[in-house]
Amino acid sequence: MPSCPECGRILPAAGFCPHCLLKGGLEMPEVETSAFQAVQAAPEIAAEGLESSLMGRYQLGAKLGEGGFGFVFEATQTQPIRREVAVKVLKAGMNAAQVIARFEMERQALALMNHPGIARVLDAGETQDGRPFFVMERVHGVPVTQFVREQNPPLIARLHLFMEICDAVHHAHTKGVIHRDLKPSNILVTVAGGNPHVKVIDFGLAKALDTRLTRRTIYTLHDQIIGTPGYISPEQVEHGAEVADVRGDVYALGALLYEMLTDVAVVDQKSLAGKSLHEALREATTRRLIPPSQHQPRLRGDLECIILKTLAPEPDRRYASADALAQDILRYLNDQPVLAHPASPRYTLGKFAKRHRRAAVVALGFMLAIFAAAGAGILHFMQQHHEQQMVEAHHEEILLGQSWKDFQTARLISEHGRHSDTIAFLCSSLRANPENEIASTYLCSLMAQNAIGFRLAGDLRVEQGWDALVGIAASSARRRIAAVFQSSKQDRPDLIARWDVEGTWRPQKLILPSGPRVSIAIASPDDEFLLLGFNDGSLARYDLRDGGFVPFAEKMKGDITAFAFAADSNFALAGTAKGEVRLWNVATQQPAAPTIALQGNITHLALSADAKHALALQQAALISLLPRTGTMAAPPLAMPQEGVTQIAMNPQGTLAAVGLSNGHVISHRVPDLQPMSAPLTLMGSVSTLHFNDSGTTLAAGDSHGYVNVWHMPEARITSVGTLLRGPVHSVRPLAARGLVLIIGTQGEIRLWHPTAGTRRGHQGRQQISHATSSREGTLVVMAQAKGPTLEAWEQHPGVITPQPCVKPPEKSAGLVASLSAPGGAPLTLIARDRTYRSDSTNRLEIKDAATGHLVCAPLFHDNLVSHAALTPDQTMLLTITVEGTHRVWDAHSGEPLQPPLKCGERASTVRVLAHGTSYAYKSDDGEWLELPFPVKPGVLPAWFLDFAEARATKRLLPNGSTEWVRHEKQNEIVTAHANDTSYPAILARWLMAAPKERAPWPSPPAP
Amino acid sequence: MTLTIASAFTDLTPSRHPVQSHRAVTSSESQVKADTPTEAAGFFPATPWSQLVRLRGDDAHAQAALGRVCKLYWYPVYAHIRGRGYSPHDAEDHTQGFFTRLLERGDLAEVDQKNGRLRSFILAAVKNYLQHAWRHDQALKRGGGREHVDLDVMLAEDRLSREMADNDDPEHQFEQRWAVALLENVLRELEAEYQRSGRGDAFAALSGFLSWKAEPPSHEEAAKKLGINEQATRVAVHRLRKRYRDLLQKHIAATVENESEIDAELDHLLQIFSAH
Repeated sequence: MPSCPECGRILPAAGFCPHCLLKGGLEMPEVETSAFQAVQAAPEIAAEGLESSLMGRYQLGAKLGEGGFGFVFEATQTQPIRREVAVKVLKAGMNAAQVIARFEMERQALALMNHPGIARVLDAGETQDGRPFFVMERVHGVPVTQFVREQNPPLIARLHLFMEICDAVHHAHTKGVIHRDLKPSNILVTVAGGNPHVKVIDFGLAKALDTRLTRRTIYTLHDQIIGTPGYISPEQVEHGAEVADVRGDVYALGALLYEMLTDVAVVDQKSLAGKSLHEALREATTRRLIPPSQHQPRLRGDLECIILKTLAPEPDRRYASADALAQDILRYLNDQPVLAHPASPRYTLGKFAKRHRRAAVVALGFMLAIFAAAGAGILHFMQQHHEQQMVEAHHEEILLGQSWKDFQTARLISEHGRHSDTIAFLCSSLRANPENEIASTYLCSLMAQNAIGFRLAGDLRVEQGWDALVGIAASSARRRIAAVFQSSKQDRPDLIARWDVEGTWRPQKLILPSGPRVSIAIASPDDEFLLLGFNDGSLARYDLRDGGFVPFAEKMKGDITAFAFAADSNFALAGTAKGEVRLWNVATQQPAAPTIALQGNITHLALSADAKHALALQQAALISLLPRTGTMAAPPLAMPQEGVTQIAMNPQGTLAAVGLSNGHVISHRVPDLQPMSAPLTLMGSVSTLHFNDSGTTLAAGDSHGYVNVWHMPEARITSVGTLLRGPVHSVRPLAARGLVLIIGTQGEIRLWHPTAGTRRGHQGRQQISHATSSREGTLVVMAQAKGPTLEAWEQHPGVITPQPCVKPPEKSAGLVASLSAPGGAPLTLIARDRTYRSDSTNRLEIKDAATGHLVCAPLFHDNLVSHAALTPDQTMLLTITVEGTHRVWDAHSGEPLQPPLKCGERASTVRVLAHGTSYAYKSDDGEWLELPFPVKPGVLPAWFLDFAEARATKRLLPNGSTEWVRHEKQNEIVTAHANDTSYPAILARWLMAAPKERAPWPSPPAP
Repeated sequence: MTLTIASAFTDLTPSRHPVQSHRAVTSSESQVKADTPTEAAGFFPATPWSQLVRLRGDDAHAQAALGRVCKLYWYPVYAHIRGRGYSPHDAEDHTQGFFTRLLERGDLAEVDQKNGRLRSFILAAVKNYLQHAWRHDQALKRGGGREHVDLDVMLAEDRLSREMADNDDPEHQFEQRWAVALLENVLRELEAEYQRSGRGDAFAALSGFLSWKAEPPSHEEAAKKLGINEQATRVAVHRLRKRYRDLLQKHIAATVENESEIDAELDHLLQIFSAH
């Protein structure tokens, strides 16, 4: 073995001595610095590892600016002539080959530009570590907005200055360079010969570098945002910089014009300070636009129209180019009708009169001479009428823009799963523009697809002093919650508090007799009462209905440590620390069988539905019991050393499952405890086990947030999901449509459909150690063990889930296309007036069949699109990704009609059903499943928006704040529209109905 | 200095399984200061690795960023698994499975993160992984059609056979291999940087100055080799060593919770070798 000549350690195969190399990194002797020129430069130069003199020609100085990708330094050029320049260098780490290549392409494009309003590129090169840099003309100027604020030039001068900017930007556009980050600090004004001139700087860096960014990037790369909130166009926020075209720059120019004419920024940058990028962008794109005339009344009219047109959220409604914008301003200056103004004969005539003022004055004088009195009145009326029309036009423009913005915000947050906020934004969007059909469809599908849970008002707590929680019960039917508390003070007796969900939230309190302490409290399966065990072996029940507290007449020996209920809540098995196990009739509070005396602490119990079979875990042994006769059914079975964390028995009393701390779940036959199969495995320690009613399926959660579902007789895993970020607290299969309610210790509430793979949920505010849910799973109460504040959530578990398709169609009623294989032939659908195409990417393009042009930005998916289908009338487009996310789009415009529906499984075939209102897909298991297409509900009535807001418990007010809405209002609204046969009423009734008593999904009335 | 093992560091990009579940692309609320994937191997996210671990299940960027960090350390993982008695074939499968599991899903997140070192986390996670024999479950659940990460096992085996004697405890060995892998990554990146800017010769001539030596090598000799004067050589050596130190810190930064821990981790790595 070779050893290090320096330290004598054996050399690893790597060929160097790691010890000496590390030591070399730790101890760096300073060499004499005389070789370095004294650098009076920005600290970034050293921090970035940049040399102080680039190519021996540019001496770097202070930092002028910093973008997401690069720094701009002031620099002095020394050769061949001495002059001041600005140098832009890529930040370290941005040196991927593609980025560098594009940077070079961009430099060449910039070199092509030759415009007095654009800072010239003088030179380019590479730093020692291979980073490219630009050398640009150094512009000594101030940002244009600062210039107008300080110099306060007249309106006409401001407009001329702005037109210069448009001209420069347009020049760049004609050279194929889009700026994408136009903002005041990138537009400098220099004064030469007494006249101000603009210079646009920082051209094209964004374009050079953004091409590999996906649209997610803009949300995740905190400091590398392409664009600036307040100047960035909404589509750039939404789809990323790569979709931005010249109209994105036009939008930024609009924001600039707004600021130059009003001295107020569209979005106050200071108000965004301290906000995360996500918040800042959302704010900037969703904040309501204040009409410029509110800041500057003289802008009312043409200029306001021009600004609003430029700032239209939809690119199509903006000016098509910077030049078109400049031309319209020129028209305004020449008193010609501007394009932005809604045309009317009166407007055109007025402009004509203004243009030919002298002739108009003569004519007017003539008219006045004749109709002196009447004329004045008519003119006044005309003036008033015109202004009224203008106000209406603006109002409508602003409302349309607001509706669009609110919808886009709703779309974004719906993908975060914040359904209540999404509903509030959609309702706001629809109040601004009730005819927004996309928003109304989206709202209806969202409500049908998602269990909208809400946190019940107020935290549930008792007064200080009782700060440890022992147990909770929640009854959805009784609308009550009860909890048992203890005080840390030994002399203070235990307390039971009971709340009315509909009531005042003031608890009714019951102080228990002093002496024995509650050692265990669990809710009965029918949610009617709490069963309490005490540390002196006594038992009691507490009724949720009337608050009645009934102690049992007989006691057991030792602390009560475990309970298990039979299915009907009448029988319960209790175990103690001294090894006693006994079956009790809870209804009569009498023992139902003789005591079984075992040895040692009983930590877990399980009971069959009929109370004939039971399991007890006592120290490291599993014991099979016949509780009704008070006997053991088989000898105790020693458990593995890993430690048992959970036991469960199926309701039929034939199967036992034991969860271990190493993640294994072992199964045994009951009553003889014969092993059934090899252990099933979870990732972490098993934290919860639950059999379903049929007794064949076991759901188990672990400390890593995993939930697995096994088919026990075959020991076959049927579903697996990482559902939570932290340990699973409890898993409860619900009767409703095969859903499983999962509660996590991080406060997560999830409704999971194991076969369909769908999952929806809510996030509580705190980490929890106690949680319970009502039988239907609709009421969930969670709390920490110490200092408890109970958090109560209510949710409707009934939502649209894929339904088995009874008669799968022979063929599809609408066009269908599928991806043959990743990388294979592209997926293409050719409809009457549109073609849809997706090659092996996550995008789907929609092109106009006649012109071949894209009709919208490509539809973005989070994975490959494997299937696409059109409804028979070709109005809706369905896409399904390889991972089983279903999306439905407006086939014409490409707008989404529903939130993505994650079915979590691959579809092998898709067919549209004959009536065109639903489709079927074949899952990997070969089963055909059916899902409905969204229903276009038409204009939603105001009461439905009220209903939706009551469901979300919040309303978005015009000023951007939210208002709490009572959720009970839903019932009142549905009752008031009990006989309404319109689709909104059908949907509302469907949403309020019990899942068992209604159709799988709401169907629109037959036309 | 030559990097004989460089070619063994094949791309360990997490495989994309078709049913892998991500939230929709716009859904990321996270603040991951990750970046677009770049070709450069030594590119690190500004987000602490532990945060990436928490986010990776839902955030493709966090996943990719974590992947870039983790793939630098596949060899210690492989060697550790081999050390636990698995055949090269099984060890390859397990290494593959481990990283896929680590990067794709929100698993393993509960593995000890308390001391905030990626090194400790990976070791604990590997142990956990092996304990639960994920391979079996994976094969059952996933079936075929899975992309395989191309580990260069032959080179790794060759290297294992030449490594230090095996009378050491596996955890200590893992730590040593980790440190070696880290240094290799640093050197590789440093060399690549120099080569990219056409200074490959300078790197070759001056890399001997990076290691600690009681008697530093002669500047004069290096100057002759490079055909520059001695003063310029001193400057070049200084720059190289500074860059080496920066890169070393950067690589370590990617494996600790925050910057203040870099020096402590450097000390620890040195201790790993000093103890023996």
